[in-house]
Amino acid sequence: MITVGIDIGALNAKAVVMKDGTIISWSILTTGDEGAVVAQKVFHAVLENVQIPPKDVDRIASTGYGKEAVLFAQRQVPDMACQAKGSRWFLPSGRTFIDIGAETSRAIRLDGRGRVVDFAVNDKCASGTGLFLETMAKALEVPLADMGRLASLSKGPVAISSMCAVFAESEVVSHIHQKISKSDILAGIHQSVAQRVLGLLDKIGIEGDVGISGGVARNTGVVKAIEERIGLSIFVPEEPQIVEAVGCALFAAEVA
Amino acid sequence: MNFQTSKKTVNLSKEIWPMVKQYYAWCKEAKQAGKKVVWTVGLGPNELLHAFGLAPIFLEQYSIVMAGRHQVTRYLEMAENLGFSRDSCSYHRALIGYALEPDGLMIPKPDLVLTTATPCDSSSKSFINVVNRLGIPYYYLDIPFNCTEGAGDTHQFDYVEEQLKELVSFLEKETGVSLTRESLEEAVRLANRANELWAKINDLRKAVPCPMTVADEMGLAYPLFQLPGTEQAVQFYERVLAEVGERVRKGEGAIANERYRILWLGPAAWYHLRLLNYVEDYGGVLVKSDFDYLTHGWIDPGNPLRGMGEKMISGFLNGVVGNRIQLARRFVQEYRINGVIAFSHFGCRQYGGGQRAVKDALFEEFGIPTLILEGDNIDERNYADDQVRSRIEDFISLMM
Repeated sequence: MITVGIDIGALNAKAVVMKDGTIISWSILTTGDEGAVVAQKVFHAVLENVQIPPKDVDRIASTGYGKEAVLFAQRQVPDMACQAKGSRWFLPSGRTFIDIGAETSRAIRLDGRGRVVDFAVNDKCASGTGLFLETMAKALEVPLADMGRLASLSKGPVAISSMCAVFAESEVVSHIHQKISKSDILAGIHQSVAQRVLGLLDKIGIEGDVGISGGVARNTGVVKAIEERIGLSIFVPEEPQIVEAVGCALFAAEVA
Repeated sequence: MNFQTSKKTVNLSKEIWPMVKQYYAWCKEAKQAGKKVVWTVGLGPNELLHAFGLAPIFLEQYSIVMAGRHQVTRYLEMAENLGFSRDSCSYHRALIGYALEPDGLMIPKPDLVLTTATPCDSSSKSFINVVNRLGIPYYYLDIPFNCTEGAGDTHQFDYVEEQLKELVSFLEKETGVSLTRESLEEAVRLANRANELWAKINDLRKAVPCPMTVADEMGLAYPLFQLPGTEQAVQFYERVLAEVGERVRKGEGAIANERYRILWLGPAAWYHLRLLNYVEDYGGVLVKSDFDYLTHGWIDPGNPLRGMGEKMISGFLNGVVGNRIQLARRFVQEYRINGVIAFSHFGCRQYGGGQRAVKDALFEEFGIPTLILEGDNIDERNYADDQVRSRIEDFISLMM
C-alpha cells in the first residue's frame, strides 16, 4: 500500500511517501505560498522523486497548521498524534519526545502502547522555537547550519536572560558590542532554548528513552544543551523535520 | 479574527441577553428615581443589597457583557495608559477604565462601592482606584482565607458576621433606607430557592446524553450572580428546570454522537464563546463547569448575615487547593467525565495557581487528562484561534 503524509507547518511543508510502512521518498518546501498551492507542490515533488504517478497513491492524510488546506487528503490528523506515531516509528523504545518547529515547541510523554499520556506546548512566545533561533542567527550573521558547530567551540556560554525573543535579540547585540565571541553567545542562546524545553519536560515528566524532532533538532547545539540539562542522551532521526509527516503517512494507512 | 458567540442547547439561554439589558436599564431608571446604585467588585453578598432594595451591579459580570459585545478593549487601554500593566488581570484594568469614563456605560454611575477579598484580594487594590476617581463611599469586606479542607472555622464566621452587621449600618446610613428583618428573610428565602432550583438543574445535567452544555451554563448562571434574592431569578430557574427536564425525558443531547464528556474549569473567553463548542467537532461535549460554584451556595435562613459570611468563606476559590480538588473530583464522578479543560486566565494568581495540583490529582485518581488552556477572559487582543484549536485537537487525541 502506498500512502502519503503531508505536514503543512508554519514555515515548511513536508511530505513523505511510505510503501507498506517504509519511507520511500520525502520532500520539504518552504510554506511561502497559499496552503492549497504549497500542498499540491509538495505532493507532486515527493512523488516525482520516486516516479510514482498520483493515481497510484492509495491514501493521503494531512497534518500541521495548514492541514485543512490539503483539499485532496482523505483524512486530517492532529499534529500531536502524528508526532507520537512518527516518533515511535523512528524510536520504538521512546516514551518522551520533543518537537521544536518554527513557531511551536511541544513535549509529549507516551505510555507503553504509544498513546499520549501528557503533553505541554509553548506557542505563546517565540523564544524556544525555530524562528527565535533564525532571528539570532541573523543578528550574529551566522548561517543556521553552522550554529551548532560554532557553539561547540564555546569556552563559557554567556547568559541570555530575557524571556522575550525581541529583547533577547537586543541582548545578543549588546553582547556583540562587548566583543564576546560568537561561540559563547551561541552557546548561551542554545542554553536559553534548552531552558524553555526543560520547562515543558518538567511539566510532563521524563520517562524512558527521549527523542527529538522538528527543524531545530538539526541544531546540534540545542540538542546538546538539552542533553546536558536532563542528563540523558537524545535520539535525533536522520531527517528530524519529516517525523510528523511520517506519522501522518502511517495514519493514512489506517481506516479513520 | 472572526469572534463568534456560542451555539446553545437550551432555548431559554436566548433570554439572558434581554434580561441583562433590562436589568441595567432598570438600574439606570432606579438611579433617576433616587435609588442608590452600588457597584460590587468580587463575590459580595448581592442578596443583602437586593434586600435593601438597592440597585447592585456586579462589575466583573458587566465586564463579561462588555467583552461579549467587544467593547471592553477601550477601557483596558485607558487603564494601561495610566500605567497599569497589561500583564495584570484584565477584569481589574477594565473597572479602572469604567471609573475614568463612567458616563458612557450601559450601567449608571455608582453612589457606593462594595468590594470583597474573595475570590481574590487583588481586586480590592484595583477598586481603590475606582473610589478615588469617583470620590464615593465604599465598604470593604475582608473575607479571610479558608485554611480548612471544609467550610471554614467559627472564628472566621464571627469575624465576617461582625463586618456584615457593620455593612448593614453603613448601607442604612448612606442610603437612608432601613433594613427590615422581613425583607432580609425574604431575600434569603428567594436566594436559597434559586440555588435549590439551580442544584436541581445541575442534577439533571448528569444525564447522558448531555442536555445542557457549558455554553448554556455560562449565560444561564447570570441570575445566580447578579439577581440572587429576587423573585425574577426564582421564576426564571423554574422555567429552565422545566426545559432541561423535558430534554432529559426526551433523551435530547447537545450533539448527535456524544463520545467524550468534558469538565470545564474556570470562566470562559467571553469575547469568543464559540470556543466552548470546539470539542463538539470531535464528539466531545462540555457537560459541566465550576463557574457557577463561584457563587452557588446555601444561606442559613435562621441566621442570614452569618449564613452569607459562611457562603463567602466556603467558596471553593477562597481557600486551600484541597477544596478545589474535592469539587473537581465530585464533578468527575457525578458527571462521568473523560477529560478536563482548565481555562487559565492571564494574570490570575487565584485560578492559575492551583490548576497543576488539580490536574495531577485527577490524573492520579481517575487517569483522565487535563488541558490547561491559557488565555484571557475578557481581553480579546491576545487570542490566537489556530493555536487554541490545535491545543483542543491535541487534547481530544489524549482521550481517543
